[in-house]
Amino acid sequence: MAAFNFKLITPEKVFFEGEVNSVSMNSITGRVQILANHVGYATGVLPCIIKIVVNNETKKAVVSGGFFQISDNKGVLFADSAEWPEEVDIERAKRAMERAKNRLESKDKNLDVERAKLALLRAMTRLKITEIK
Amino acid sequence: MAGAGLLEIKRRIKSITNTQKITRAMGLVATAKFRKLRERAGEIDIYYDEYKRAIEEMLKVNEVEDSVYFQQNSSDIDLYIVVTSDTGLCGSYNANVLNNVLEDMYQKKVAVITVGERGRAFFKKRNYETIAEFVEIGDKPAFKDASEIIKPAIDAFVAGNVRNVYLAYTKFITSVKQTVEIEKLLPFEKNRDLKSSNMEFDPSVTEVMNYAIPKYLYATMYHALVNSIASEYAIRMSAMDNATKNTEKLLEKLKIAYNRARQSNITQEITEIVSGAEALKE
Repeated sequence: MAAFNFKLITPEKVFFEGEVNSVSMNSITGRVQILANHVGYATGVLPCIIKIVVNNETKKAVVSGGFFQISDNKGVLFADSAEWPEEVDIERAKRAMERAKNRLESKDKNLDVERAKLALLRAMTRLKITEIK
Repeated sequence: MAGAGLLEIKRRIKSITNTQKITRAMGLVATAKFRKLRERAGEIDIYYDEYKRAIEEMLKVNEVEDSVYFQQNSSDIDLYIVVTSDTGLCGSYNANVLNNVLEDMYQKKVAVITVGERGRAFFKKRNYETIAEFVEIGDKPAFKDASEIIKPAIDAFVAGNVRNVYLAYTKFITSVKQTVEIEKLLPFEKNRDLKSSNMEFDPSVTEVMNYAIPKYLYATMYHALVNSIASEYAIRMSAMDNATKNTEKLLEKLKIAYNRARQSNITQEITEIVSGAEALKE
Protein backbone atom coordinates (compact mmCIF):
# COMPACT_ATOMS: atom_id res chain seq x y z
CA MET A 1 0.00 0.00 0.00
CA ALA A 2 1.19 3.46 -0.81
CA ALA A 3 2.62 5.27 2.15
CA PHE A 4 3.26 8.86 3.14
CA ASN A 5 5.29 10.61 5.79
CA PHE A 6 3.29 11.60 8.84
CA LYS A 7 4.33 13.60 11.88
CA LEU A 8 2.36 14.32 15.02
CA ILE A 9 4.04 17.14 16.94
CA THR A 10 3.14 18.70 20.28
CA PRO A 11 4.91 21.65 21.93
CA GLU A 12 6.64 19.17 24.26
CA LYS A 13 7.91 16.61 21.78
CA VAL A 14 7.64 14.88 18.43
CA PHE A 15 4.94 12.40 19.40
CA PHE A 16 4.94 10.26 16.26
CA GLU A 17 6.94 10.28 13.07
CA GLY A 18 7.11 7.72 10.26
CA GLU A 19 5.78 6.30 7.02
CA VAL A 20 2.08 5.50 7.33
CA ASN A 21 -0.66 4.16 5.03
CA SER A 22 -3.51 6.22 6.39
CA VAL A 23 -4.49 8.59 9.18
CA SER A 24 -8.05 9.26 10.40
CA MET A 25 -9.15 12.17 12.56
CA ASN A 26 -12.06 14.47 13.31
CA SER A 27 -11.81 17.71 11.38
CA ILE A 28 -14.03 20.71 12.15
CA THR A 29 -16.47 19.40 9.55
CA GLY A 30 -16.37 15.67 10.34
CA ARG A 31 -14.32 12.49 10.30
CA VAL A 32 -11.67 12.41 7.57
CA GLN A 33 -9.24 9.76 6.45
CA ILE A 34 -6.04 10.83 4.74
CA LEU A 35 -4.36 8.43 2.31
CA ALA A 36 -1.07 8.69 0.46
CA ASN A 37 -0.75 11.16 -2.43
CA HIS A 38 -3.52 13.33 -1.05
CA VAL A 39 -3.86 16.70 -2.71
CA GLY A 40 -2.61 19.66 -0.64
CA TYR A 41 -5.09 19.95 2.23
CA ALA A 42 -5.44 21.85 5.50
CA THR A 43 -8.01 21.65 8.27
CA GLY A 44 -8.63 22.27 11.95
CA VAL A 45 -8.74 19.19 14.14
CA LEU A 46 -11.11 18.71 17.08
CA PRO A 47 -10.27 16.72 20.23
CA CYS A 48 -10.58 13.13 18.97
CA ILE A 49 -9.14 9.67 18.73
CA ILE A 50 -6.70 9.57 15.88
CA LYS A 51 -6.12 6.30 14.02
CA ILE A 52 -2.77 5.70 12.36
CA VAL A 53 -2.46 2.68 10.03
CA VAL A 54 1.03 1.31 9.34
CA ASN A 55 1.25 -1.98 7.40
CA ASN A 56 -2.24 -3.14 8.45
CA GLU A 57 -1.44 -2.39 12.04
CA THR A 58 -3.62 0.25 13.67
CA LYS A 59 -2.33 2.61 16.32
CA LYS A 60 -4.68 4.79 18.30
CA ALA A 61 -3.94 7.95 20.22
CA VAL A 62 -5.95 10.77 21.70
CA VAL A 63 -5.21 14.32 20.59
CA SER A 64 -6.71 17.43 22.14
CA GLY A 65 -7.27 19.47 19.03
CA GLY A 66 -4.92 21.08 16.61
CA PHE A 67 -4.24 21.80 13.01
CA PHE A 68 -3.49 19.38 10.16
CA GLN A 69 -1.80 20.03 6.86
CA ILE A 70 -0.58 17.78 4.06
CA SER A 71 1.40 18.82 1.01
CA ASP A 72 3.85 16.92 -1.23
CA ASN A 73 2.91 13.65 0.49
CA LYS A 74 4.07 14.99 3.88
CA GLY A 75 1.42 15.26 6.57
CA VAL A 76 1.86 17.16 9.82
CA LEU A 77 -0.58 17.36 12.71
CA PHE A 78 0.16 20.09 15.24
CA ALA A 79 -1.63 19.04 18.42
CA ASP A 80 -1.88 20.89 21.72
CA SER A 81 -1.26 17.56 23.40
CA ALA A 82 -1.27 13.87 22.46
CA GLU A 83 -1.33 10.65 24.49
CA TRP A 84 -1.25 6.92 23.80
CA PRO A 85 -4.12 5.01 25.50
CA GLU A 86 -1.87 3.72 28.30
CA GLU A 87 -0.69 7.25 29.10
CA VAL A 88 -4.14 8.64 29.83
CA ASP A 89 -4.72 9.63 33.45
CA ILE A 90 -8.27 8.31 33.92
CA GLU A 91 -8.90 10.00 37.27
CA ARG A 92 -7.78 13.35 35.93
CA ALA A 93 -9.94 12.99 32.83
CA LYS A 94 -12.96 12.12 34.99
CA ARG A 95 -12.41 15.17 37.16
CA ALA A 96 -12.01 17.36 34.07
CA MET A 97 -15.29 15.97 32.69
CA GLU A 98 -17.13 16.80 35.93
CA ARG A 99 -15.70 20.31 35.95
CA ALA A 100 -16.68 20.94 32.35
CA LYS A 101 -20.20 19.56 32.94
CA ASN A 102 -20.67 21.74 36.01
CA ARG A 103 -19.52 24.78 34.11
CA LEU A 104 -21.93 24.12 31.28
CA GLU A 105 -24.81 23.65 33.70
CA SER A 106 -23.96 26.69 35.83
CA LYS A 107 -25.75 29.16 33.48
CA ASP A 108 -23.05 31.70 34.21
CA LYS A 109 -23.39 34.59 31.78
CA ASN A 110 -19.64 35.10 31.50
CA LEU A 111 -19.10 31.46 30.60
CA ASP A 112 -17.06 30.77 27.49
CA VAL A 113 -19.37 28.08 26.17
CA GLU A 114 -17.12 27.04 23.30
CA ARG A 115 -14.21 26.55 25.63
CA ALA A 116 -16.23 24.53 28.11
CA LYS A 117 -17.62 22.34 25.34
CA LEU A 118 -14.12 21.68 24.02
CA ALA A 119 -12.93 20.82 27.53
CA LEU A 120 -15.82 18.36 27.88
CA LEU A 121 -15.03 16.84 24.50
CA ARG A 122 -11.38 16.45 25.41
CA ALA A 123 -12.19 14.69 28.67
CA MET A 124 -14.76 12.40 27.01
CA THR A 125 -12.33 11.48 24.21
CA ARG A 126 -9.67 10.61 26.76
CA LEU A 127 -12.06 8.34 28.64
CA LYS A 128 -13.32 6.74 25.44
CA ILE A 129 -9.88 5.61 24.32
CA THR A 130 -9.26 3.85 27.62
CA GLU A 131 -12.50 1.93 27.24
CA ILE A 132 -11.97 0.60 23.69
CA LYS A 133 -8.41 -0.50 24.27
CA MET B 1 49.59 53.55 64.52
CA ALA B 2 48.18 52.51 61.14
CA GLY B 3 45.73 50.03 62.67
CA ALA B 4 42.66 51.87 61.36
CA GLY B 5 43.66 51.30 57.69
CA LEU B 6 44.25 47.65 58.47
CA LEU B 7 40.78 47.23 59.94
CA GLU B 8 39.14 48.90 56.98
CA ILE B 9 40.88 46.61 54.49
CA LYS B 10 39.92 43.60 56.60
CA ARG B 11 36.28 44.68 56.53
CA ARG B 12 36.34 45.07 52.74
CA ILE B 13 37.89 41.66 52.28
CA LYS B 14 35.13 40.15 54.38
CA SER B 15 32.34 41.87 52.45
CA ILE B 16 33.83 40.94 49.06
CA THR B 17 34.22 37.32 50.16
CA ASN B 18 30.50 37.34 50.96
CA THR B 19 29.67 38.81 47.55
CA GLN B 20 31.81 36.17 45.95
CA LYS B 21 29.84 33.46 47.74
CA ILE B 22 26.61 34.85 46.31
CA THR B 23 27.86 35.21 42.74
CA ARG B 24 29.42 31.76 42.82
CA ALA B 25 26.20 30.16 44.11
CA MET B 26 24.05 32.03 41.57
CA GLY B 27 26.41 30.94 38.82
CA LEU B 28 26.14 27.29 39.87
CA VAL B 29 22.35 27.42 40.04
CA ALA B 30 22.20 29.09 36.62
CA THR B 31 24.48 26.45 35.10
CA ALA B 32 22.36 23.59 36.39
CA LYS B 33 19.10 25.15 35.21
CA PHE B 34 20.56 26.25 31.91
CA ARG B 35 21.28 22.67 30.81
CA LYS B 36 17.64 21.67 31.17
CA LEU B 37 16.37 24.86 29.58
CA ARG B 38 18.55 24.43 26.52
CA GLU B 39 16.95 21.04 25.86
CA ARG B 40 13.49 22.54 26.13
CA ALA B 41 14.42 25.32 23.74
CA GLY B 42 15.48 22.65 21.24
CA GLU B 43 12.16 20.80 21.53
CA ILE B 44 9.91 23.80 21.00
CA ASP B 45 12.09 24.85 18.08
CA ILE B 46 10.96 21.75 16.15
CA TYR B 47 7.27 22.46 16.75
CA TYR B 48 7.58 26.16 16.02
CA ASP B 49 9.67 25.77 12.87
CA GLU B 50 7.33 23.14 11.41
CA TYR B 51 4.29 25.24 12.24
CA LYS B 52 5.90 28.29 10.68
CA ARG B 53 6.60 26.33 7.51
CA ALA B 54 2.98 25.11 7.39
CA ILE B 55 1.63 28.63 7.88
CA GLU B 56 3.93 29.99 5.19
CA GLU B 57 2.62 27.30 2.86
CA MET B 58 -0.88 28.67 3.42
CA LEU B 59 0.15 32.29 2.93
CA LYS B 60 0.46 31.50 -0.77
CA VAL B 61 -3.27 30.99 -1.05
CA ASN B 62 -5.16 34.01 -2.31
CA GLU B 63 -8.22 33.83 -0.10
CA VAL B 64 -6.26 33.95 3.18
CA GLU B 65 -6.67 37.69 3.24
CA ASP B 66 -10.30 37.29 4.19
CA SER B 67 -9.28 36.00 7.60
CA VAL B 68 -9.67 38.43 10.50
CA TYR B 69 -5.95 38.09 11.31
CA PHE B 70 -5.03 39.73 7.99
CA GLN B 71 -7.24 42.80 8.31
CA GLN B 72 -5.69 46.22 8.81
CA ASN B 73 -7.67 48.35 11.22
CA SER B 74 -7.89 52.08 11.79
CA SER B 75 -6.37 52.18 15.26
CA ASP B 76 -3.14 54.15 15.69
CA ILE B 77 -1.74 52.15 18.61
CA ASP B 78 1.07 49.61 18.39
CA LEU B 79 1.09 46.89 21.00
CA TYR B 80 4.37 45.44 22.29
CA ILE B 81 4.69 42.21 24.24
CA VAL B 82 7.98 42.48 26.12
CA VAL B 83 9.62 39.46 27.74
CA THR B 84 12.00 40.24 30.64
CA SER B 85 13.12 38.43 33.79
CA ASP B 86 11.71 38.57 37.31
CA THR B 87 15.02 38.97 39.10
CA GLY B 88 18.24 40.83 38.51
CA LEU B 89 21.81 39.51 38.67
CA CYS B 90 21.66 38.59 35.01
CA GLY B 91 23.98 41.11 33.44
CA SER B 92 22.66 43.13 30.54
CA TYR B 93 19.78 40.75 29.72
CA ASN B 94 16.92 43.10 30.64
CA ALA B 95 18.67 46.29 29.55
CA ASN B 96 19.23 44.79 26.09
CA VAL B 97 15.57 43.96 25.58
CA LEU B 98 14.25 47.22 26.99
CA ASN B 99 16.67 49.43 25.04
CA ASN B 100 15.82 47.71 21.79
CA VAL B 101 12.10 48.04 22.48
CA LEU B 102 12.38 51.73 23.35
CA GLU B 103 14.24 52.35 20.12
CA ASP B 104 11.57 50.52 18.14
CA MET B 105 8.78 52.40 19.92
CA TYR B 106 10.27 55.79 19.06
CA GLN B 107 7.55 58.29 18.03
CA LYS B 108 4.80 55.67 18.04
CA LYS B 109 1.68 55.56 20.11
CA VAL B 110 2.14 52.38 22.09
CA ALA B 111 0.66 50.01 24.65
CA VAL B 112 2.53 47.17 26.32
CA ILE B 113 2.01 43.71 27.74
CA THR B 114 4.86 42.93 30.12
CA VAL B 115 6.23 39.57 31.11
CA GLY B 116 8.56 39.61 34.10
CA GLU B 117 8.89 41.92 37.10
CA ARG B 118 11.77 43.91 35.59
CA GLY B 119 9.77 44.90 32.54
CA ARG B 120 6.69 45.66 34.62
CA ALA B 121 8.61 48.03 36.91
CA PHE B 122 10.35 49.67 33.96
CA PHE B 123 7.17 50.56 32.06
CA LYS B 124 5.22 51.45 35.17
CA LYS B 125 7.86 53.98 36.20
CA ARG B 126 7.61 55.62 32.78
CA ASN B 127 3.80 55.64 32.77
CA TYR B 128 3.22 53.48 29.73
CA GLU B 129 -0.23 52.16 29.07
CA THR B 130 -0.21 48.50 30.07
CA ILE B 131 -2.85 46.08 28.83
CA ALA B 132 -1.69 43.16 30.95
CA GLU B 133 1.17 42.24 33.28
CA PHE B 134 2.56 38.80 33.95
CA VAL B 135 5.11 38.09 36.66
CA GLU B 136 6.66 34.96 38.16
CA ILE B 137 6.19 32.75 35.17
CA GLY B 138 9.09 30.72 36.58
CA ASP B 139 11.68 28.88 34.62
CA LYS B 140 9.37 26.14 33.41
CA PRO B 141 6.56 27.94 31.59
CA ALA B 142 3.66 25.78 30.43
CA PHE B 143 2.12 26.08 26.99
CA LYS B 144 -0.98 27.37 28.73
CA ASP B 145 0.98 30.26 30.29
CA ALA B 146 2.03 31.33 26.82
CA SER B 147 -1.53 31.24 25.49
CA GLU B 148 -2.73 33.29 28.46
CA ILE B 149 -0.08 35.95 27.87
CA ILE B 150 -0.88 36.41 24.21
CA LYS B 151 -4.68 36.17 24.41
CA PRO B 152 -5.19 39.81 25.50
CA ALA B 153 -3.08 40.88 22.52
CA ILE B 154 -5.11 38.82 20.05
CA ASP B 155 -8.36 40.10 21.57
CA ALA B 156 -7.21 43.72 21.37
CA PHE B 157 -6.24 43.27 17.74
CA VAL B 158 -9.47 41.54 16.73
CA ALA B 159 -11.50 44.20 18.53
CA GLY B 160 -9.65 46.86 16.53
CA ASN B 161 -8.04 48.53 19.56
CA VAL B 162 -4.49 48.11 18.27
CA ARG B 163 -3.21 48.08 14.71
CA ASN B 164 0.03 46.07 15.09
CA VAL B 165 1.22 43.52 17.62
CA TYR B 166 4.95 43.09 18.17
CA LEU B 167 6.75 40.55 20.30
CA ALA B 168 10.13 41.42 21.83
CA TYR B 169 12.24 38.62 23.28
CA THR B 170 15.79 37.32 23.47
CA LYS B 171 16.48 34.58 20.98
CA PHE B 172 18.79 31.86 22.20
CA ILE B 173 21.37 30.93 19.57
CA THR B 174 24.27 29.43 21.51
CA SER B 175 25.38 29.71 25.12
CA VAL B 176 27.57 32.67 24.16
CA LYS B 177 25.28 34.27 21.59
CA GLN B 178 21.79 35.62 22.19
CA THR B 179 20.06 38.33 20.19
CA VAL B 180 17.07 40.53 20.90
CA GLU B 181 14.32 39.97 18.35
CA ILE B 182 11.31 42.19 17.72
CA GLU B 183 8.85 40.24 15.61
CA LYS B 184 5.66 41.52 14.10
CA LEU B 185 2.89 39.06 14.94
CA LEU B 186 -0.30 40.73 13.71
CA PRO B 187 -1.67 41.44 11.21
CA PHE B 188 -0.42 38.66 8.99
CA GLU B 189 0.60 39.57 5.49
CA LYS B 190 0.06 37.50 2.43
CA ASN B 191 3.23 36.44 0.69
CA ARG B 192 2.96 37.92 -2.79
CA ASP B 193 6.29 36.71 -4.12
CA LEU B 194 5.40 33.06 -4.11
CA LYS B 195 3.33 31.27 -6.71
CA SER B 196 -0.14 30.48 -5.52
CA SER B 197 -0.76 26.91 -4.41
CA ASN B 198 -3.84 24.79 -5.03
CA MET B 199 -4.32 23.61 -1.48
CA GLU B 200 -7.74 22.41 -0.37
CA PHE B 201 -9.24 23.81 2.80
CA ASP B 202 -11.85 22.10 4.93
CA PRO B 203 -14.34 23.77 5.24
CA SER B 204 -12.93 27.13 4.03
CA VAL B 205 -9.69 29.08 3.97
CA THR B 206 -10.97 31.64 6.43
CA GLU B 207 -12.21 29.09 8.93
CA VAL B 208 -9.05 27.02 8.83
CA MET B 209 -6.92 30.15 9.17
CA ASN B 210 -9.03 31.42 12.05
CA TYR B 211 -8.52 28.06 13.74
CA ALA B 212 -4.83 27.62 12.97
CA ILE B 213 -3.52 31.14 13.57
CA PRO B 214 -4.31 31.52 17.30
CA LYS B 215 -2.60 28.18 17.91
CA TYR B 216 0.34 29.35 15.85
CA LEU B 217 0.53 32.53 17.92
CA TYR B 218 0.46 30.50 21.15
CA ALA B 219 3.36 28.46 19.76
CA THR B 220 5.20 31.66 18.83
CA MET B 221 4.72 33.04 22.32
CA TYR B 222 5.80 29.78 23.95
CA HIS B 223 8.83 29.66 21.69
CA ALA B 224 9.70 33.23 22.71
CA LEU B 225 9.25 32.46 26.42
CA VAL B 226 11.40 29.35 26.38
CA ASN B 227 14.05 31.09 24.28
CA SER B 228 14.10 34.13 26.58
CA ILE B 229 14.47 32.01 29.69
CA ALA B 230 17.28 29.97 28.17
CA SER B 231 18.99 33.23 27.17
CA GLU B 232 18.42 34.70 30.62
CA TYR B 233 20.20 31.82 32.27
CA ALA B 234 23.00 31.78 29.71
CA ILE B 235 23.60 35.49 30.32
CA ARG B 236 23.25 35.06 34.07
CA MET B 237 25.76 32.24 33.94
CA SER B 238 28.42 34.32 32.19
CA ALA B 239 27.60 37.45 34.22
CA MET B 240 28.04 35.54 37.47
CA ASP B 241 31.19 33.91 36.17
CA ASN B 242 32.63 37.33 35.35
CA ALA B 243 31.57 38.71 38.71
CA THR B 244 33.25 35.83 40.51
CA LYS B 245 36.44 36.39 38.52
CA ASN B 246 36.36 40.10 39.35
CA THR B 247 35.97 39.43 43.06
CA GLU B 248 38.94 37.08 42.88
CA LYS B 249 41.09 39.80 41.32
CA LEU B 250 39.90 42.36 43.82
CA LEU B 251 40.54 40.05 46.75
CA GLU B 252 44.07 39.41 45.55
CA LYS B 253 44.79 43.14 45.40
CA LEU B 254 43.24 43.74 48.81
CA LYS B 255 45.25 40.92 50.33
CA ILE B 256 48.48 42.44 49.04
CA ALA B 257 47.44 45.85 50.38
CA TYR B 258 46.54 44.24 53.70
CA ASN B 259 49.87 42.45 54.02
CA ARG B 260 51.75 45.57 53.06
CA ALA B 261 49.91 47.61 55.68
CA ARG B 262 50.51 44.90 58.27
CA GLN B 263 54.21 44.73 57.38
CA SER B 264 54.65 48.49 57.64
CA ASN B 265 52.88 48.40 61.01
CA ILE B 266 55.32 45.80 62.29
CA THR B 267 58.31 47.64 60.88
CA GLN B 268 57.18 50.82 62.54
CA GLU B 269 56.71 49.09 65.89
CA ILE B 270 60.13 47.49 65.70
CA THR B 271 61.70 50.84 64.83
CA GLU B 272 59.93 52.38 67.81
CA ILE B 273 61.10 49.65 70.18
CA VAL B 274 64.67 49.67 68.84
CA SER B 275 64.95 53.43 69.00
CA GLY B 276 63.45 53.31 72.51
CA ALA B 277 66.10 50.76 73.57
CA GLU B 278 68.84 52.84 71.95
CA ALA B 279 67.67 55.85 73.93
CA LEU B 280 67.83 53.86 77.21
CA LYS B 281 71.44 52.71 76.52
CA GLU B 282 72.67 56.23 76.41
